[in-house]
Amino acid sequence: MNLLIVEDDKKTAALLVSALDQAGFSTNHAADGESGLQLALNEAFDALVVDIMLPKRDGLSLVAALRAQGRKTPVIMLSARGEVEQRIEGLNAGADDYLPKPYAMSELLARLRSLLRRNTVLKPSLLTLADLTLDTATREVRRDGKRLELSSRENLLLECLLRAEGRVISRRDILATVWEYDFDPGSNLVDVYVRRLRDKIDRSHAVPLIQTVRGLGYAMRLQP
Amino acid sequence: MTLRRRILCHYTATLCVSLVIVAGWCWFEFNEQREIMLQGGVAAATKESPLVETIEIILFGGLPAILLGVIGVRLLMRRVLRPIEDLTAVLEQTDVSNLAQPVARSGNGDELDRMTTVFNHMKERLGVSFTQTREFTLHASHELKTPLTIMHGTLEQMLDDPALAAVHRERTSSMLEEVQRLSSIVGQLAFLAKVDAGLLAIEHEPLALDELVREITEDLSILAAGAEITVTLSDCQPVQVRGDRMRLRQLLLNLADNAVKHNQQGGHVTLSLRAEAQHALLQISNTGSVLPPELRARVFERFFRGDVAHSTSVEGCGLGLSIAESITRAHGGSIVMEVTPDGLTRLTVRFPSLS
Repeated sequence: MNLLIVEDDKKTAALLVSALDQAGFSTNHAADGESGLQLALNEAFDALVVDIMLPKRDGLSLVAALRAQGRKTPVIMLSARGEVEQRIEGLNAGADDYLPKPYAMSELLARLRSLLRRNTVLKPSLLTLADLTLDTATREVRRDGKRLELSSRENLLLECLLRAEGRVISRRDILATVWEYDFDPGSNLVDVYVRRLRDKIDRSHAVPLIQTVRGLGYAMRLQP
Repeated sequence: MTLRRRILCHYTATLCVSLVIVAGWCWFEFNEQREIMLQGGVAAATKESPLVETIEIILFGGLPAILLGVIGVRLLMRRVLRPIEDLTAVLEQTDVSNLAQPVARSGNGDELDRMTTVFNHMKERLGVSFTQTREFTLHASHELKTPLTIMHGTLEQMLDDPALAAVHRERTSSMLEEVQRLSSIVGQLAFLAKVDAGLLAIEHEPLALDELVREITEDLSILAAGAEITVTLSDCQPVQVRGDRMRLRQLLLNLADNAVKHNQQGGHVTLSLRAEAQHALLQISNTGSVLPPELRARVFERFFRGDVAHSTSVEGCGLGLSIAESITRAHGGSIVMEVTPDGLTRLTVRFPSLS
């Protein structure tokens, strides 16, 4: 997967390049909006990671210009400015997703992957991990063939974790997906719900499926 | 003309007029005496009593002069005091929101006009200082986000390295948690700074507050279950308000979280939503320890953490209720903390409702 990173802050750019390289993407970097746009127009990228505040041409205008040229390359916007308003502005300009600073690298990776997958594969309705299954059509959850009773929130939380396919998903992303909250509730709401879900799913089973990744969030996978 | 000179002129004029009245009556009296003397001689003049004459002068000369003096001084007072009263009225209405509007000057260069100018300068300086504080918080929280992102990313990369020794892994994880806490504080500060600067976009769509309250009660029950706190929704009358769904959820969740955090093991939280005439009244009470009265109004201040005993046991940075207050104000509502007669801490939020 070929990515273009448009970011003027050297340290942030270096970190993005190294983190995305490590995650198996091949990356190109542009330090200002104008050269970023030229690169994006001249070469084929699978996705763009664009900061909003850029010299020469800002991120919003870059995306708008790209879309005006008929390019449909998926774009993730990064910004430190006002969250809700900027999100709307960014999405209006033609970006596909928006990540407010400070973000976790794992968050960016998860969004990039879901963006790259969005257009190619249809969401499967039956999610499976080891002996756990969730049928998203009927909301039925079974582990080891036995049916589990989950509340609707717990059910959504489970779907959110399963769809990450083993990757770590941050509390912020969980709040955004399950509760549709765009704010930090200042409470341990997510942790409390995960604990309840864990009680229902992992208790009385030898192999735990929900893992806490300290400082990052949660993941559903088999212990490596 | 200065105020001092104006008062002096006014006063002199009033005294002169009084003098003319007294002099006028005296002239009349002396003239009368002269007529009597000319017509009846000294014998006729001795019939007149000096006491009666003096009383006459006081009654017809002195009294009108005094009356005129009092009326004159009254008018003078009113003229002098009116601009002071006007200025006081403006001063009373001065708050953070109207620092930018100067007080109207009379422009006549007197002492009051100078005082108005000085006051306007003071307002201006206050306004600048307020704006600087606001912009500082806004910029600081904005500028902190990039280094925080870099720190977060670097720590994540370190944790991704399988060769990282267990002891370093532990320390790095702990650092990552602190970076996240810092990010959360910076995020909340940025939110407050945005509200202060009037940059927060608030939607004003009609919505059913009772539905939001029910929804939050469900989350609250689960948050509270860990500390064995029971949650009761005692009353939930249907009421429509105009507002922003996301911000109102944030407000309710902040209040709910506060009621759980500042509670005791096995305590209670009671919510109620009532529809009053033109108002929606939301109350959340908890069985936590009660704050002394002088601290109750301060709970909405930024970084307020109550007494020291409180702050060590309760996590959070003391911005939750400030945010709640900002959101309430942005919706034209009010929020107060009270203690009920049966010793419960109660937060009351009042919103204008749609009738």
